[in-house]
Amino acid sequence: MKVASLVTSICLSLALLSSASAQDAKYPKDIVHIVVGSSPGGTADTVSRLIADQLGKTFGQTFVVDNMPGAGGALAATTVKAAAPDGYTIGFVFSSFSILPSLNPKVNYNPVTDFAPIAKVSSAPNVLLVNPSFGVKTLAEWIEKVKANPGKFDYGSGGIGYSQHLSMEMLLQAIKGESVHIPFTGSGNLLAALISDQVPFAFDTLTTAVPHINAGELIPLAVTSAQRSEVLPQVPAVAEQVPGYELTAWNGFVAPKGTPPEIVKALNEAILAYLATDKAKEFFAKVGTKIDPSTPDKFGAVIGDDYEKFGKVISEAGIKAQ
Amino acid sequence: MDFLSNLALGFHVALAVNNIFFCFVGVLAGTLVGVLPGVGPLATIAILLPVTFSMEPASALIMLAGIYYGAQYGGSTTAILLNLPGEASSAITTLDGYQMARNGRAGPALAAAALSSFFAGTIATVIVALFAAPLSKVAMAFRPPSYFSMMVLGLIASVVLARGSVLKAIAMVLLGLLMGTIGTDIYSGTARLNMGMLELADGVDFVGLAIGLFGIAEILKNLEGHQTREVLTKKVTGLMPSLSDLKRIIAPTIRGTLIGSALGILPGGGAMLSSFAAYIVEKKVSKNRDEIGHGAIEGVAAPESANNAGSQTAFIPMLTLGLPSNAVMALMIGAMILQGIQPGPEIIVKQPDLFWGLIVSMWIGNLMLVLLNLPLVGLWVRFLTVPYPVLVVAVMAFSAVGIYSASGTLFSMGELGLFALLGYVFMKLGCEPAPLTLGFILGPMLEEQLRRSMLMSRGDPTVFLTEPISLGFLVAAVLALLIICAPAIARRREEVFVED
Repeated sequence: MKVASLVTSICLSLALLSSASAQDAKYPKDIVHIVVGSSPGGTADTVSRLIADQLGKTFGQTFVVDNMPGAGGALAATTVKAAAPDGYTIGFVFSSFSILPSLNPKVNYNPVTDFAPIAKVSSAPNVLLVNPSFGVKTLAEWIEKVKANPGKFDYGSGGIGYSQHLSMEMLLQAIKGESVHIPFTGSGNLLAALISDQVPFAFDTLTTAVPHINAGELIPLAVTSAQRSEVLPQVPAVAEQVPGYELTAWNGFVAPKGTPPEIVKALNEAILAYLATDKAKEFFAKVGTKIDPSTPDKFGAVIGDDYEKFGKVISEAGIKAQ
Repeated sequence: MDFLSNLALGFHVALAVNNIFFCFVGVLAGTLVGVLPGVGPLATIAILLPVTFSMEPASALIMLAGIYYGAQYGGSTTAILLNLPGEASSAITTLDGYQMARNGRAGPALAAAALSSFFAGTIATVIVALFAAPLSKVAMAFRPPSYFSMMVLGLIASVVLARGSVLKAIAMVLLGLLMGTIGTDIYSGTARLNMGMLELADGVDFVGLAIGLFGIAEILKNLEGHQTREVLTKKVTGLMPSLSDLKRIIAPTIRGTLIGSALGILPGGGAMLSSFAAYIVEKKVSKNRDEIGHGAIEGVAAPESANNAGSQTAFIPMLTLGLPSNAVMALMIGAMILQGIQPGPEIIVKQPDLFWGLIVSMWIGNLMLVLLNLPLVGLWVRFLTVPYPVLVVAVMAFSAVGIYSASGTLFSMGELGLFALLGYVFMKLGCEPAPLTLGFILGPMLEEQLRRSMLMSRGDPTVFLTEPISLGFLVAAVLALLIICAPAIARRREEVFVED
């Protein structure tokens, strides 16, 4: 048993050695760093680790995840922007990537011109939730009540400039309603505030809200994706009432601008191949987000659209950091 | 009888061979990361999260929970031996624990920490089992004004932390409050006092601050001369607490357990605030209060029981409501989701085996921890005989690695160094770092709740008086202020405390 395993491991390392020398010119020759702008743990980190592991197997090279939390992901994005465009430093980014530069002038990157998109990985809508005591059951009733009482009601979010905040600002701008923003720190605190009726309504990510919807603590009025969500098919999309309204939170990989296209292509193919496996489908079903792979170009278009859309919402709402 | 059958179910799950094994792995890992400065349970649980994918849900949660409360046991070890808080929640234990070690009583201090933690763990587990559902309702009744008033009470009481001059203590609290404002304002998104550095966007890192101010600063001081360390090793008298020691820790442990259990339930409360609160209360009510701050065993037992109790009851909102009360609980919720379990109010009904199994495993884990930690006391004390230069290098390397692994930036190393120097300067000036730490923790919460209350009331400050819980805390705060300011008491304070 022991000898057998020793023999296999020797054979394996020999095989690795020979393949390495045979493919001398081929990417990747060295460890690849994936910079993630969130703390260890949590969905974004877990997803990136899972994919890093898979890319490692596909390319026969180690892909390590570097956690660089801070400034809502801006620290990580700035690090990726400054890295050499050789494919050995890539970033795993999420929606805030295209929001932060409009929000904070100190954030020194442009999500469109400073990066080469690799692939989108998954996406999830937000859902408009109300506490049952607020007394509305549909989006139409909600719109009516909010418009009839400008500035009277509070709404919560997980933080200023978070997608929960911008979802509401976009909706309020569309229906010309007014409501006072009360930021909380993170989705968990937001949900607690909603359930204990500190704030009557808020947008939150679908995944974290579902258990509380099922328990009857919160009523879902509408989802932010253009179409209804498979998770809550009975809940309408905001767009059914407010045409053109759309917002999805997503995540995906980017590289520094100037990374060779063939490397971007190789990474994109490897990521997409993994996302098509049953293992990936099972994992993402558990996490509750939808696998939403795309080509580099399409991902670039999503980033660009969001950058433009959120920039407009932010300047119209007068949300501006100094 | 329902309770007994639930408990039986819990024991059935927790005593399954694989679950006992994972519980042991969890508490062992927890003890280790607790001992290592800088590496916290948060990072450890995060790193181990992917490992739990393939485990059964109950085993996974039992192991991850073990890491969390296990770290509360381990965190006191370096706090006592080296003045180095292994965990943020052990920062306050350094005050008396390290003094005890300097008096040659490191053994009893470590044993007292383990025993009071075990007592607290046991009681808190019973509290979780019996009252989880009603207590979660209490937590939900706390609205922003109540939180604010509670923090005001805490801030006023913090002056008690002063070992020397009261004026210096107040100055340190204020400095802590100021440092707490560094970072991004959560209500406007404005960067404050960060000198244009994105690294400071989320504020100053508490772990670096605590390790620098307490631990590394102490090392710097010790390196000035050689004589102080000799004392530590020579005078070691007995490893276990004496009978009179045990008698002295009974009341503080009970008080600490109750305080920890209460604060643990509240969001943001948890282990860290509990330990501070328990210490402050002890300093006011203990029979031996004059000794506290100078190496009293009460000053170890109270915060250590409180942080352990707090870390157990922190599970209540998570298990009964699916709402995290701190970052570790948020990770536990993540772990559940990855296991295909929807955390939320339905867990008790739909997954009773998981709920009760986890609760019973907490008690079993606490039993393992005390059995693990008591024999280790002798080993830890022998650590003090390691030549100081060797020990110093190892400790500083571990601290640096721990902090770097969590932040991933060299900036955090700079922070650590800066706080070490600052701590050294404070020591020379006779300023205690403990009040600063409390101000640093309370400040951001105080501001967050104050401004949220005012936003919600549209600028009407009477909300703090009209909300009953808030009013209660404010009345208590006024009483505390009167006690502190009463001139007769103040004069006595000066007499007692001024000598060092």
